[in-house]
Amino acid sequence: MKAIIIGAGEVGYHIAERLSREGHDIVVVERNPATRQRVQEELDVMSLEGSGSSPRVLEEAGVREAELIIAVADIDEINIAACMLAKAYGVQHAIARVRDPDLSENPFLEHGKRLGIDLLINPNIVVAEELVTLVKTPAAAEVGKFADGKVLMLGLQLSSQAPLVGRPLKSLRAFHSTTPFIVVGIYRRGELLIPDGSTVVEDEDHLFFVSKRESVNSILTLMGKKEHIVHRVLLIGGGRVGLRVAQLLERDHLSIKLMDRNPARCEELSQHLERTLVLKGDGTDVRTLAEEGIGEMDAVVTMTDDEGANILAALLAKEYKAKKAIALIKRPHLIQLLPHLGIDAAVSPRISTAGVILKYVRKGRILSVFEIPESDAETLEVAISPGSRVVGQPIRALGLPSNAIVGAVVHRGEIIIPKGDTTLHADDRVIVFALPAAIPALEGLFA
Amino acid sequence: MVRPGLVLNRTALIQLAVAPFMLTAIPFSLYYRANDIPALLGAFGITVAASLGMYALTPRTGEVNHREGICVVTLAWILAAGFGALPFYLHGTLPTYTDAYFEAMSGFTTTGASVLADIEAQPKGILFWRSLTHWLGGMGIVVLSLAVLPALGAGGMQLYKAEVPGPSADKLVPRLRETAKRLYVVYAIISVAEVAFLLLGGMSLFDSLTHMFGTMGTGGFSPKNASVGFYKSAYIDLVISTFMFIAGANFLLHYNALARRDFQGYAKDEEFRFYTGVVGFSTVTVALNLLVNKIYPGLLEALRHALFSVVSIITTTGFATEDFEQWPAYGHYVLILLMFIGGCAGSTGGAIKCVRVWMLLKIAANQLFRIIHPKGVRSLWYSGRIVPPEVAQGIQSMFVLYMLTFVLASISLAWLGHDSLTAISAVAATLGNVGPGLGTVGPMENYFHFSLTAKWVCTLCMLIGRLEVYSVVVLLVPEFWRK
Repeated sequence: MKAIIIGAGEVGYHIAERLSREGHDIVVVERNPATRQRVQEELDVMSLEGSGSSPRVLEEAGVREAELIIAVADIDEINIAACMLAKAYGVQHAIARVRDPDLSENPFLEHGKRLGIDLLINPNIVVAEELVTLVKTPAAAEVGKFADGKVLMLGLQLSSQAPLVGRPLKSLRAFHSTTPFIVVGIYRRGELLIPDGSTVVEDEDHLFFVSKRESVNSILTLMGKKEHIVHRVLLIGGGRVGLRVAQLLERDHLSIKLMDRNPARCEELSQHLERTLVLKGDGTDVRTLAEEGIGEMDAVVTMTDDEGANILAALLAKEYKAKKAIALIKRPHLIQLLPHLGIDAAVSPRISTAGVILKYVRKGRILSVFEIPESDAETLEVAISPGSRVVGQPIRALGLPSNAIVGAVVHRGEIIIPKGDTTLHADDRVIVFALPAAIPALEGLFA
Repeated sequence: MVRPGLVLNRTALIQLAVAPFMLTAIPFSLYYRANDIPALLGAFGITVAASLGMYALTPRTGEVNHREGICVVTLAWILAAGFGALPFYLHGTLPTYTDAYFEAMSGFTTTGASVLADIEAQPKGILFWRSLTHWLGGMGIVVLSLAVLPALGAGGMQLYKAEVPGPSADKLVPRLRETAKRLYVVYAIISVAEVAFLLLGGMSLFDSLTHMFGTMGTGGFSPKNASVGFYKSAYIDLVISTFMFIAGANFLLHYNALARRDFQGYAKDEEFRFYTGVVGFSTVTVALNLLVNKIYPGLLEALRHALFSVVSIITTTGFATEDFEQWPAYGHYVLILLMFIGGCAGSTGGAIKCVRVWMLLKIAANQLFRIIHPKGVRSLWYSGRIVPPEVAQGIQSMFVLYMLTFVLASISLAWLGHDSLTAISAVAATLGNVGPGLGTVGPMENYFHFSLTAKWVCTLCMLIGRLEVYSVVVLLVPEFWRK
């Protein structure tokens, strides 16, 4: 497939890298010469200098033959114009990123459909939704939802007290019969590995497992985590993301405090949030934090525009014994630092936005994609097409690539945590955890 | 940071992509009942065994970074000539390994300077391999490897950049592997066309193929002692002149013309216009000079020989029909100057390249403009685009380094006792990948009489010229190796 990507910022660069590695023909359009140079040298793509909203540049990028345009430049209007132009040239699919909720949420625009844009992503909203999920799942560092939320993939950092540590995974078989789950990946010393029965769980492992939603709590106990009811939440940073998170959490009737430095913004926030206590103050101001009972918080989310301040505020929260600290990070490669610092979870708009885009690009038989930060691994939810050669086969006979593992099967609405002899049927959905190299093979296998 | 294991691993892969081509000479050895089959098989065996060993003993995983890319490309060329010399050495075609290495490097870098005394006495298999190295080296052995070996993919852009001639390495399509394949397809199509034209002119299949290799790679090895002059045919001169001209132009333009029916690309490309202009001007003035000095009786004949020699030299091919050394001073002086200009970026030709010469002229013109209008603001335009200052600086310093290499190498030859015309033209011809020079290395003589040291100097010049100075010279800078 031929795709044009407008803007080689964090999201654009990442998507270009992923898609080109999977064998697609990518042309990247970027305004900044230095950024373009970097793309040209580091990625196997074609790059052009220019504005994505210029028809001349789009023509040069081969818009007439392209099937997909992904507009992720910094300016909303450029992204929208690029997509509309591309559609006029006959590009089938157009994806635009916009930050202004006025554009992304306006009912008349129908999420861009009215303009001919197939997918309009607002990274702030995507990120806010992810943050809310993390707030509501206190023990996890990552949460991926599949099969309409009936299957969860959780990532968590093991503590040394976890009963699991020092035991091979196959010793959990007895446990499996009551609460089945599958450990699909272990992030250990900077490397992601796909475990088998003989893999011994180590202290400091970051574990990814797939299970039914209802079994999550007992599995978490096994992992040495206590799931508790979330009640008190402190949000630091009242920007677009902060406001959105507060609005979403208000629906769940939690006790929310939202803190922002800017008095005028606080005023504005208080007019949008009915039940939230808006506080004026700095997220690293220890006295204010202590006064507001930071130590009693079930979750503290730091999401100002300054990622350094977010990390500091999250560290402070942990220092004061808040139960969970979640930080919003712009540069995804910083995320790997956070477990060492004791910060429980981090969200990056880049990874979240890229996940939504990849899901759209893979659409068809692939229903959902969750990207594992810093490893490029993905959890995919794939529907098995009736013509696939895996139909009627038990999982062990599939010849799955060694860097992929099936975590769950959805058969006629019923969730099965599979064993080697679980048989696949047409229109079943499988939730597969895979390293990047395996993804093209998987697409072929289930299609 | 340079990881030696990874560099060796990728280099070994490139050798494995080149090695099978040695076997393509064998059908000709069989047909002509030549005695060179053991040498060709032996060379193939040694190359494959050594490369496989190198590949197996080094780490496979990792992405080649910028510096490693430069190392891989330079080392790949050094080794390709090293292995490519084996057929000559094992067969005893040439007395020493130095001679065999000179011949092979001259082949791969498409120089076409020879140390073979009697070419026609050599077996056909050896001669076929000798010419085939031009064809492989013309489009590039790294580009070839990128096209056939998926394993080279990671970090491939770093390799591609270091090998493709010209200030910017453009891709035809987004994916590098696909770009490399398409370049070779275009190259092959034009090559087949030339063979067809030569066969129509009455050449044997063997002669057409070997001459095509020499033309398309802008190399210049001929299986005949008298080079193309052997045929004494205006038709063959014209066919070869035309295809040399094509091979000296940017293959990006040929690709657009063949695949996208975009023939206007030629007219719009500033470099192509400059290239055509230089060829036209040189041909006409040299022909007139030849006519005035009564070297040839008629204008048509003067034009035919002037065109052939001008195109042969500017594209850095080095085929000869006439001994241009016997021409009046104007003719061979123009040819010496053309040795420095060379073909276009993205062609198989060598030397400084038309695009750089043209840009240098534009930079100089801009500078004059600034002197006239001290407050004037003027950008450097090229084919409708603005040239970034880094690119302009890159071109200027490449020119300086090229001339510096030329000076150092030619004074070395002078030190070794060669007369100044020979020293100057031998370096201009090897550094520019042309082949024949003037003086004692003229179109009807060759480099056989050079001492071993002088041969190594010339061999190094060929490598530096083919990789456009930077990739080789940067390895000599200590900073390159610092961690």
